[in-house]
Amino acid sequence: MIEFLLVQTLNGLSFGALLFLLASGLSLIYGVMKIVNIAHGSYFMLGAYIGLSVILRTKSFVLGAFAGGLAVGAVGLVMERGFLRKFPLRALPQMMITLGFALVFRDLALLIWGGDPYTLPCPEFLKGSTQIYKIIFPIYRLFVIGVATVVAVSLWLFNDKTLIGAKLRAAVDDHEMAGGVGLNVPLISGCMFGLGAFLAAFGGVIGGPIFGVYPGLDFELLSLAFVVVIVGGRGSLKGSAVGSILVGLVDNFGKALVPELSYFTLFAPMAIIVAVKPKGLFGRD
Amino acid sequence: MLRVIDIHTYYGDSYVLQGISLEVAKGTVVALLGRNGVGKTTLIRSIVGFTPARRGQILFNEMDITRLSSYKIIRLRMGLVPQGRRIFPSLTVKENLAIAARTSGSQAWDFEKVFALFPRLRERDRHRGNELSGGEQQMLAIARALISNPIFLLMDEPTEGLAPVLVREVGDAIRQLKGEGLSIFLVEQNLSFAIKFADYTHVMSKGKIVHSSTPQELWENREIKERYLGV
Repeated sequence: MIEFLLVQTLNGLSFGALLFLLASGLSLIYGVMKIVNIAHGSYFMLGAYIGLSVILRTKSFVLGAFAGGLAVGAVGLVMERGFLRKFPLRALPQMMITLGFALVFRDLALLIWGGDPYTLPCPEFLKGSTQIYKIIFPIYRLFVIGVATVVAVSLWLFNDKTLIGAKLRAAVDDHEMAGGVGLNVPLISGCMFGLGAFLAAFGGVIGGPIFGVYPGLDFELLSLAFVVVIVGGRGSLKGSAVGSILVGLVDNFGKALVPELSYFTLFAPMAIIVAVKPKGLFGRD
Repeated sequence: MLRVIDIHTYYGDSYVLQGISLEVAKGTVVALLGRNGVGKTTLIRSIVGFTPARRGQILFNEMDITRLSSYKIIRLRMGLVPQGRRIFPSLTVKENLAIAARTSGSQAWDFEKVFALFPRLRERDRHRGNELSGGEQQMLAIARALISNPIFLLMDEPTEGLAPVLVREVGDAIRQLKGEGLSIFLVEQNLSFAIKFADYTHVMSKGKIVHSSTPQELWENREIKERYLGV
């Protein structure tokens, strides 16, 4: 019993770790710009595909992770600067633009990488398993938890302890007044969008050896990322972290214990949390 | 310094500012008075680019700022003390000041100088915006505008909701700023407060300026005061 709990908890945490890489950007983008980015799951998928191609050519996982992240980060920047910026704070046009991009990305991925599922090769030095207590657990999954933890702590330090972080929080708190104290909110927004896309794509590559990458991954993860953002609270980094862990665990235990009800076990707790706290656990506005 | 030339501003379909013209000369304090909902705040919003005017022109030091982004207008060294204070709740007092700070010449405003003006803020510098009292928030809103070292200050009802002792403190601050030669555009409902500092006054009603005079003349004009200010 205890072995089962431990294995499922670690599995849930490693899934939560990937969700955090995806959802933290989605949440901050909504927080600063109020954009519901339907293409955010596509960043994860595109990152994984690009990472795959780079890893197969260069045999370097690290290179693949950063290439996927940076390429998709640039795509995000172009989306924001070239398109979304033209419709500031207009929810419907913005959402339709991101939906359009998501569909284009889906077809583009199908065109380039085809419809077969791939699993990204696990880096050599992270192959194998290790023993924790009485269980055998893959090292790679522990590595994923470690990477997400490092990213979360870095983001938190950046957000809470630096002047740029304070400017970002000001833009989340009161977008208009941030301009009213002379902050270049469009620039902050663009960088935010690029960073969010980078993190999602980076997560896609990191998650590749576990999930693989296949058509449909984009929208499958998007719905989970939205659950994280809604549960955790829009625009809150702490909310994304706690929400990711919760959703990762609930999803994993749900699938392990009552697989036929896996969507129910995920969405029912979300509905209850939102009913009690409409702004999410750490929501502000 | 600031010239507003026949501006017309809308919120969606609602026609709020119906041809406003006024001027704030360098080193003067101009007060705009009027009841709630007559468009005073909208005028401020048009000047700083939150709600740009649809027609007309706003010149700041002869530069057309009518359709400029807010942050560009503010960076021309305009300071805004907005209605409702709009302190950033998740930022500490220090951060609220730090993100607005801009350096300038010798007599510049810095942390030391704003804390000297409002000692209470120094005691609270690690508290977050949402942990401050209304009075503290008002002081912070003024300090936040000053630390950007503006040459022109827009203040929208800086005494709103403040206890009399704090009103006096804000008044002292405005007097000191005026003494230092800062140009100020002050929006107020409180006539007796505004005329203490104003060099010139305008009265607004239903999106138009209905009276302009020296504060002395306004004070003595019972009809205008009763009709438009409810005094």
